[in-house]
Amino acid sequence: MSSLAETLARLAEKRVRGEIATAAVAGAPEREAYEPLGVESFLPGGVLEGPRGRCYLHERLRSDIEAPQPAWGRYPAPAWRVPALHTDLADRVERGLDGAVFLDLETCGLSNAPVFLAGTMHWNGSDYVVRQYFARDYSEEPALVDELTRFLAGFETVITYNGKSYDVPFLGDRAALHHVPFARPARHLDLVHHARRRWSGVLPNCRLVTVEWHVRHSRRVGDVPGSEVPDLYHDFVKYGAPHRLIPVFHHNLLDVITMDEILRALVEGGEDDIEAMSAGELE
Amino acid sequence: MIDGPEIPLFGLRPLAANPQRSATDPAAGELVAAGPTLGGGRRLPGQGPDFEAWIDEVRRSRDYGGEFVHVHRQPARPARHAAPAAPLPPPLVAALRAQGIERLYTHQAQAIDHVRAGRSVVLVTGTASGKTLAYNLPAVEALLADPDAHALYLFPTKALAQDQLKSLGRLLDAAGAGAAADPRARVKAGVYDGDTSTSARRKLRQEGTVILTNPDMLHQGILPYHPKWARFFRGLKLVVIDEIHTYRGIFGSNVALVMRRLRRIARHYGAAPVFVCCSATIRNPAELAEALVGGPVTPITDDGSPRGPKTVALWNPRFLDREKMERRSANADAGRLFTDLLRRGASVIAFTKARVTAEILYRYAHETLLSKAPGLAAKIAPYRSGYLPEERRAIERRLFNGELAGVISTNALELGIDVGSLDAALVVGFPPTIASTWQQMGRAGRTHDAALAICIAYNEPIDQYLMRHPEYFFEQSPEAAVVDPHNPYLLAGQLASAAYELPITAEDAAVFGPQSAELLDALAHDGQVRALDGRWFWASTDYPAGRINLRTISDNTFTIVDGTRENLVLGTVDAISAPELVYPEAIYLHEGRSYFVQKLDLEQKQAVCEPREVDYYTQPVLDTNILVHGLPERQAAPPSPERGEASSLSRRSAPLGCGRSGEGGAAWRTRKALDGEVHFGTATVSWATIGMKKVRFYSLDSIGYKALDLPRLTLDTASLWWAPPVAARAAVKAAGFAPGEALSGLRNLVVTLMPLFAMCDPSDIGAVLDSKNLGTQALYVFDRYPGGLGFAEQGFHRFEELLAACDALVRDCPCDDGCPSCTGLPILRPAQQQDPDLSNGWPMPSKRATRVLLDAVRGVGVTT
Repeated sequence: MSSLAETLARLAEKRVRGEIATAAVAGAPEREAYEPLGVESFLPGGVLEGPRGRCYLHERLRSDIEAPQPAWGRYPAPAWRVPALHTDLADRVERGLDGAVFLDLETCGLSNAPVFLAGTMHWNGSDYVVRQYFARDYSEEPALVDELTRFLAGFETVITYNGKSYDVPFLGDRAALHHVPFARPARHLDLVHHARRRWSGVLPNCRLVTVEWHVRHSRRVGDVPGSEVPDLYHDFVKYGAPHRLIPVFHHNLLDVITMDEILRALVEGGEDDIEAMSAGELE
Repeated sequence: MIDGPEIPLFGLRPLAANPQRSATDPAAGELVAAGPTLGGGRRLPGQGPDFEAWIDEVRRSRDYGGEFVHVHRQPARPARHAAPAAPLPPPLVAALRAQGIERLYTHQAQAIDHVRAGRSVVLVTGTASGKTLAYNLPAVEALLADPDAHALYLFPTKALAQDQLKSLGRLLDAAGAGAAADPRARVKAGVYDGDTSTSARRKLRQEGTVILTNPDMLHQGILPYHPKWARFFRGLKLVVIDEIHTYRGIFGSNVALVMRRLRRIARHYGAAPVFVCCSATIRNPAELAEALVGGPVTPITDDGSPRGPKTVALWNPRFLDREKMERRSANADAGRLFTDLLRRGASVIAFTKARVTAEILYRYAHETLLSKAPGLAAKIAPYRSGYLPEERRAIERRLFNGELAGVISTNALELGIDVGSLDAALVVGFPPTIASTWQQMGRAGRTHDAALAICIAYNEPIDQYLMRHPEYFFEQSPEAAVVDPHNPYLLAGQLASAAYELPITAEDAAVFGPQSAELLDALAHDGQVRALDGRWFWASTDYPAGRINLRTISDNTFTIVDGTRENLVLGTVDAISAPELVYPEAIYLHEGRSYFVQKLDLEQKQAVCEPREVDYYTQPVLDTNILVHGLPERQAAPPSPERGEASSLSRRSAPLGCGRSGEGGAAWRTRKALDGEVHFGTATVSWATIGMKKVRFYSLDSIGYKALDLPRLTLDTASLWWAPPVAARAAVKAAGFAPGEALSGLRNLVVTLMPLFAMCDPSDIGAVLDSKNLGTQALYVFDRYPGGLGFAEQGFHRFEELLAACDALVRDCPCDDGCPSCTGLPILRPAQQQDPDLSNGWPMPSKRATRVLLDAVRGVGVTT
């Protein structure tokens, strides 16, 4: 019998006997001393302490993971293409990643669930800086949301993949719940819309991994499926063992990096454009 | 008159115009009604029908058989006005004036004053008393004054929400006419429920200032999504809960918990709204309101609305054959009364309990009118909830403007929906609460003209009991709405839902009650929540509100489906109730239609039915065991073969996982009652449906019995028990009766009457006689839900009242020495009890035996 069923039976009896206390209820137990072997050991970074409490920040450079490319930080478009580009994309041609940040969230569900990992990437002039804001348990979410929103406020444009439908409204909800001031970013470049316009005739679907394969010609191996992410986090909070969660960090990292490659591909154009252009379909 | 000599159509005497205008009514010079309940326009005020004269005629007619058992005359009541302490803002004053209202009634003004002062209220005033204005006015006032103020209106049905939206709309339109600023710009009201489109939902979330919804939607569709409603909750100033008397039993208990979640979320966004509750007349409206609101509530009972003189009559169809105890068909009598009133020029509404009855009545009336008054035949219509909204609107409109003179309805029309006022209301069969009866009877009556309401009794115990005890109608209602937000089974589900919404703090847990910490710990143990930093966080991908139905106590439910319509789901029922409601070959009634249960699939948790027109009902027969917790082992007598007790009756030593008493403190509560003591405690009850009886409609003859073998259910619940004092047993024996027979009779009486006191369904409680627990025979009455829901507890606290009512019922019953309406095993409702304690049982215990017992217990001189 589950613990709940036993408790229910016991309580049912107690209250009829009038034994239920009317005194103030004790709260939940305080947390025990935090487990020393947490993600900190695997993902170097630091604890952020702010007005809303603590969360963890893991930061690294893209050059730690991939060999730097000359194209990094720039999105050159062939001259013939520029006039046909959407303003948001044309902006990137002109300004690179100046004033822009990539964003991708990992959450415990599609809605009404906490966000536990927020991946961002911006250009520091010579390299991409990847930051992953992490709530080591549910009580760290307010700090995560607070730190993240303050970080995002320093950028004019946020770049996402399906963020208009998902990531930004999600963050808005969590900010509302935690009373964290959150202003929607002034500009939002949601790559999924451009990807659809560009590739829906060419690709079976415009899911991120599908587009990633088309653009990077590489497939992920052993990547954690998105549907498993929430349970991995819940298990991590219950049982510790950061090895569960490392793949989620990695998945988030790859998502963020891939967005950059997709942006580049959208701007640069490719063989699939020639046909479209001649058919007058190019954006 | 009713079946008397044919009155030629042209010579038909209309009900005489009432010569007495309500000259004493200072409001006589004003418009007929305050608010939109302007009826028909067919008649000027003061020219109403003379129902007194009609009743006299009926009584004097040759065919009259004494059916009017009680006629109560409510005198005309003039309007009593009052003004709120500070005047309403000009747009509202103008709006009221545009609707013909110059002054407010006392209760409306009081409501405004209290709400302005931040005090929650419960309005306990009659139908058509202007309750809607009593909350719309303070709401609109607050919203006009503060652009960030919002209001939430809760209704038990979607239809009522739609109607109230219209009502609010009319007020806003009237306020906007000629005003500088359009109030609609500030007050954006909309219904947010299962039928609302996605785009409308988004708009309401983003911009709505008045949200109208129902508890189910609030529970599953709004509260769990509260961040999307942050703007709305931040400004939440007022919450209206209408028809609170419908929130009782499991549904009411869950709603009380949903209200706690609502208040917590409001608090999270910085809001502390005032509550305005509206209740029909029950015994405990303030208590119920406080259970829902979770804080003090001021009752407002000073009904200042005017009322024309109203005649309320109780009609009991005559006996056909005194020996057989059969009465003339109530439906037939209702039909005759209905058509007669129509032919006399009155507008009439008849309420029936079932759709089938409404249809029968409609057919009868239609045929009768076709032959006797063809012009009227087209002016009657049936009305039920199964109609599409447009069809219902059409009927309501035609009633309103007088195109329709008669409507036959199921209780779909009972709740608040505005159809104007009619001259007469017939209530066919007790609805089944007194509160509902008054609401239905309240459909008759204009502000000044005479009105008539007749309640027609079925030949069923409660109906007959009430016919003999009109004081229950006209004096204090015995009905107490029982809610139990501390039932741990309900609380567990609602705590999970709350944890999903926001982490639960110690303060929150206290609001939900002293059991919360233990339940949350149990949920943590099961992996649903996690305790961190002194709070409990939701820790699973589960969505608890999605699997919690506010109307069931467990998530172990059965679906009832129509096998002929691709398993269309008719309804869901608790696994506890399923073996008693939808056993194989049961006749299951749903929205007035009858279905035959072909199969009860225990694996799939599904009952498959097919629609079937039958002329009989079915009644389950149960075999019940009860084991009270905390009794010392030696007190329980071993099973005795002489008493026919099989030793295979298992006596469970303890419920699994349950601590036994002896942990100090009494195992149960006891209070002195009458000549002895009555007790209340927990018990493990198990029962199984062992058979079913088929009972023919109307005649209530038993036409068959079939044995069934359904699995035994066991649950821990709350029970009261009472053993007759030794002296009483001796008195029964001295009179020549077996105490077991007397107690059997009492048991059957209690089963009939408890629902009247606890406002529960007869199937919500069980009653059994047992000697194993105490070593002597005792009566046990328990709630048929795990953890108990407060019904047996109500009986425990009001035991003397309950026994007094049993006494009254058995004394007044005209039968010779016991019948199914008094001491006999009940027919139809609820299930019949087959006591394992008594080898043969007494299907028809002697009335005299029971009376001796009751007299002895109540200290009255013993009579035989």
